[in-house]
Amino acid sequence: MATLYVFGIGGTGARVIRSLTMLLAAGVEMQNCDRVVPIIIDPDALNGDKQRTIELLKTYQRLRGQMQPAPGPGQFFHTEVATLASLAGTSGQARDPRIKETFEYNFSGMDEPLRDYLHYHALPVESRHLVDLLFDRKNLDENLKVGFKGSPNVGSVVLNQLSTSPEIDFFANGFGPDDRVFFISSIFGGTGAAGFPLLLKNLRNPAGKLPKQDRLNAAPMGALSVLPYFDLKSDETSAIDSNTFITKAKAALAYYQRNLPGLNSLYYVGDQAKKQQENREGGGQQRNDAHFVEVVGALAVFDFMRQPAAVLLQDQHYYEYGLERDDQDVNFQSFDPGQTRPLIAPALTEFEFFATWLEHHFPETDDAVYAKNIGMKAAWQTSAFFRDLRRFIFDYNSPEGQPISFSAWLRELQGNARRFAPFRLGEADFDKLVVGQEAKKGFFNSDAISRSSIRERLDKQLRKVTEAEAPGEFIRAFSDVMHEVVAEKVPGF
Amino acid sequence: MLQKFFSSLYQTFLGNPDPASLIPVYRQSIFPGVGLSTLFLAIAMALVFYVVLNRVLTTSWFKTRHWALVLLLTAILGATIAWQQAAAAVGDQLAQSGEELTTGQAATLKRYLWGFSATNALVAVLLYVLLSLAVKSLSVSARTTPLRWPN
Repeated sequence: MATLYVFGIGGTGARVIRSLTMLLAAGVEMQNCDRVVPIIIDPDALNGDKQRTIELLKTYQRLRGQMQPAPGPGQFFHTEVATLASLAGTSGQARDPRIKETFEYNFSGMDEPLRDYLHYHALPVESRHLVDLLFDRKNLDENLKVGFKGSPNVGSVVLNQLSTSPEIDFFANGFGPDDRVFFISSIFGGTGAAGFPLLLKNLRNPAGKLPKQDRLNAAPMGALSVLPYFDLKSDETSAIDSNTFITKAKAALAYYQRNLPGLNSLYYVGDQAKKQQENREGGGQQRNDAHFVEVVGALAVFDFMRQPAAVLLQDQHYYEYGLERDDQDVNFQSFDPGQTRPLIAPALTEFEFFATWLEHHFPETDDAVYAKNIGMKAAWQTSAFFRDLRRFIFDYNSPEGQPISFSAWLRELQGNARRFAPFRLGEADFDKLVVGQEAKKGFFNSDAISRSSIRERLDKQLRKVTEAEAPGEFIRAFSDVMHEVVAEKVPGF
Repeated sequence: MLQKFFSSLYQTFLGNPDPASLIPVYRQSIFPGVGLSTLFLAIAMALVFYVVLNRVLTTSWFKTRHWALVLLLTAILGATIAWQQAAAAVGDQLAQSGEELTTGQAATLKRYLWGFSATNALVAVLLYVLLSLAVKSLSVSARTTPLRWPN
């Protein structure tokens, strides 16, 4: 079973993984891979971006686990998402109690300033002078529990502990011959900019001592480096100043030019900053709205996986993303009709149709065959599957102030700049849902995509289903029906 | 056989027809005629709901309340058929025999006809419910209306 390990480093890493998860839920096809294992690396335990993504991943994993048999290619939730710890069964390793059943790397107990972390006062005087040269007093006195606050020089020291951690050991031990690795990080911050080259150096090391080092050295590895794409509001009291983003990005790029040994593909994405985010150094308050650049960033993972291993291993490849039309209001018509549009537009539309049905049309059809056969009316409120599904799609039962849902993600993308607004949110009429691709009404203004026609297709699909197989059949039926409807009725796909 | 079945069915609810001189016409003509018409009516209504509205056409008429509306219509039509067929047959019989009904007998006849209509409405409802269970599997959108069982 080919596995893709995605290391999301820092806040940007977590946010790109959020977009990646949404695309996977919509059924965007991840080629050459049966399973994705996201590992979020961020020492900021309470980071809002990280927490939200982890909640989303957990919900995805629970939902997918209840779908038996699993959805097929192109259907919603087709790709399995697993934690590192859960691979114990399939990778032939014993369960390691030190590795937690979670999607994040465990930086437990890092609640101290860098000075204490380095045991500064116990160092010989020469080493202390070296430390003073590399770090200013503020760096040394900052507590590490909220990350590195845009200081890669701090991150590059602290993140060294990764190479000797039980998690990395377990990861290397279970690494299969067809597996691949992808890193996602920003280049203008602290954690991501420092963590990515460090992690790469430790994993891809001819002299390394990790288990199955040969496999790691021969595996395709790719990375996404996110260039500055947003500004922060200026705040005298914050350690982070967005005016330094470009300078830091340039410095890091100069470093990357010489120090990324053995990386097969490197993707760059960035944008002119159009909107200022709140300036939060970290913690639960650091929760930036989803941004179009993160969606494009997630596409890099699909592009990397699309390519055969032999091609990747031949040479180093560098990619940038170019939007077909430089629109400030991006919709599906802004994408290249040969690449991005066919990859994500139909899948996202099908998933949005699914969400729209559940929000606006299910209450009117809860007596129909498809709903009655699986006892959906009652299950909608009570069953674990439907509660998780509502949590994934709508703002239901999300952590306080941290909506993790698909709807919230679309809302945030639409409210950001540049705007990504492919759908008219809140619209119940399927004909009008896709911006720029409205379906033509009939002669008497009848719907091209009507509730009755969709209901009838669902009824046909779910006529013989019982409660026992409900979750899997439910998702498969909706995937197929929405796929047919979008392919037949939405113009431009 | 049908004659016997329908005669017993209606008389179980209504007792013997009144006035007694009309018993033969009820047993030989009215009960089996109305019973058969009601059976055809229930079959037609069930097929309209399950096959026409919810298979051939794609309509929004698949909910239990829509089914109940058709049930109500069946009951009204059942009562109407019973009244009209019975009144016509009794009228023909009286005209043929030249029998004159007293005022008391006419009132009794009317009461019996009301009872017969009501009973036939119930019979129509019963047949529609049973036929619904039988034909609902022919439908696409209303297979679970009014209830999932036995599908």
